[in-house]
Amino acid sequence: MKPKLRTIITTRRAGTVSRKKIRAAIKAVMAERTPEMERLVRGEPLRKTAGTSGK
Amino acid sequence: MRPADYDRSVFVNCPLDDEYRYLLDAVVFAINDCGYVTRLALEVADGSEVRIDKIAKIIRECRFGFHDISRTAADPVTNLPRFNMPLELGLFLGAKRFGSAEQKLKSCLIADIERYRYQKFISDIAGQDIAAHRGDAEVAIQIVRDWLRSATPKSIRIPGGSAVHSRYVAFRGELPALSAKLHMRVDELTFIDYINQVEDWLMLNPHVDV
Repeated sequence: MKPKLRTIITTRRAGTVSRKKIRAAIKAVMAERTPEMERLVRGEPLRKTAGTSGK
Repeated sequence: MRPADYDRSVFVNCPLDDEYRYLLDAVVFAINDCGYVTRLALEVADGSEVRIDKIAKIIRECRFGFHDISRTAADPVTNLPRFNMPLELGLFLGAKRFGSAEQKLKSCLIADIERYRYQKFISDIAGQDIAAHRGDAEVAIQIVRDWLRSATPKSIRIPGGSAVHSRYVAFRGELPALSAKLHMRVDELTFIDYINQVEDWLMLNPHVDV
C-alpha cells in the first residue's frame, strides 16, 4: 500500500486575531504569489538566488 | 485549547526569548508540516495556574518531546545559567520511566549546538538521542523531520527535510504581508498568533501527494 501524507491538524488556540481573518489574509497573499514562490510551496529545492532563512 | 491526540503531540522545550525565536519558529513549522501538533508552555494564558503544573500537564498530553539544551551560557545580568530546559527534560524522561503504559511510549529528541558538547555539562543523558542543530534553522528543520520520520509508522509518508525547508522559506517570505493584512508586524507576533498562522497556512497549502 502506498504511504499517505498526514492531514494537517488545526487546534483552537485563542489568539489576538480570529482564524477566519487569518485564513482570509492567507488566501489574499496566495493570490499574489510569484512562480518562484509557488515552487517553494510545492517543496521544490531552493535556487541559490532565493536565499535561505538559516542563521 | 482542545487537547490534541497524544500520539500526534510534540512538547517543545526550548528557550522562549527573542534570541532563540528564529529557531523556535523553524522547529514549530517543521513539526506541524510533518502532521504533528506543537505544544509548549506559552500556549497557556491562565495566570492562576502554577507554571510547573502547566508544563507537567502538557508533557502528560504529549507522546513526543523536542528538548533544546543549547542555552548554557550564564545570564549577563545574574551571571547564572538558566536551568528550565534541563528540568523539563528531566520531567519528560521521568514520565517516560515511571509513568503509565501510554507514558512509556514517549520519544524525545535532545538538541544542542554541537553533538557531544552535553558531555561537559549534563553527562547523565548519555545514551539518549542527541542531535546538533549548530544554531541553524535549516539544520533544525532537518533533524526534527528525521526524528519524526523515524517515529512515524511506515504506512504514513512524511515529507523530506529539504521540502519542509523550502516550504518554510515560502511561509517566511509571505509572513510579513500576511501579518500586515492582519494589522500586525512579524516581530510582534505572539507564539499563539504565529502558530495559528502556521497551522492555517499549512492547511491551505498542503503537500501534493504524488
